[in-house]
Amino acid sequence: MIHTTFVGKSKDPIGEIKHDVDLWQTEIKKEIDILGEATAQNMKDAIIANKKRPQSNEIALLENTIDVEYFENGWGVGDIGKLKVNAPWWAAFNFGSSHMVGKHLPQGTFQPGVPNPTNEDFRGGRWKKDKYGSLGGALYSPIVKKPIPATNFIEKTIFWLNAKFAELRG
Amino acid sequence: MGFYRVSRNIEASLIAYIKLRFTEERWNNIEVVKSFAEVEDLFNKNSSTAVIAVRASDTNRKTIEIGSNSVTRAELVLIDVFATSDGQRLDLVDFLGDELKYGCPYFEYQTEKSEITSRIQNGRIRINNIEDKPVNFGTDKSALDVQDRYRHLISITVSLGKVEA
Repeated sequence: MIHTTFVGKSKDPIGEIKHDVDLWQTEIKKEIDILGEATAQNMKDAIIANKKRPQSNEIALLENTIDVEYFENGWGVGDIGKLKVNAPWWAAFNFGSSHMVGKHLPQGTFQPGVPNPTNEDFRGGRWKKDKYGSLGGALYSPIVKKPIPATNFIEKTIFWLNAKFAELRG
Repeated sequence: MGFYRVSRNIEASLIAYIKLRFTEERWNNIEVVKSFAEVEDLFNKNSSTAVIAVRASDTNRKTIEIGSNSVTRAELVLIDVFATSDGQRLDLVDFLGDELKYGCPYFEYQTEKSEITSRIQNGRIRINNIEDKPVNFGTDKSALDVQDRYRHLISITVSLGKVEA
């Protein structure tokens, strides 16, 4: 059996300890709540950092779907249900995939640039689906040659978050 | 003469160790590579070969005390398992988990014209954390290419147990 004796000048040492623990818990909860926003931002940054082509004037569906949701006892980042609807390619982008290699994309146009862009041109523009030529560019149906590389934005965020939790624990 | 920095040393040491353990335990038809792009080529050559891709990813450096420039390093290493069946996927993940939990030798590599010329052991890689999960693209497996059908991702956090000045 372990006997513990508290020695102090306070009339209510247990009450003071409880008070300190409550304060500490409130502080930790505040820090963890702040970390929720930072985690969502970190995940967005990891996605943006891994993009190969410019995305100006287009809605960034994947990043826009990443947000933090608070619950009574915590928070979550990246609702899978929302991702499946708004950005169903999240898994291929995170884990990498060769499922498109050797396949034709539907008819579209490469902008800015010309059809069949060189490797250099590829970094300057994007292929856009365009069945009827409404975007004004020359239409073509490219064949995918390379697999989608894994970006692992989820694993990178978990790694970052673990380091932050370690800091909080001191 | 060149040499690898710490992250590449960790990556190369882990690849060497995993290859060695597969050979010692007499696994057949398993390739261990470091580039994701090599997986596609290997599957195109022989779709009955399982492939393990090992990639050093992010690094976290933490100062050992306030005011010091010395840091301890934690490194995220991602191990992609591309199996040829569901059973093999589970066996490979269990095997890798069992082998890696004890850590492995850490080698420092020297190179010449991008080729490794020598390596010297300088401590051990410690495994701080292992997590794994099956890769699920949310589609019917029969619709996926063979290399994407039976995939698993192992994330490990490693350290060298050393202070970097």
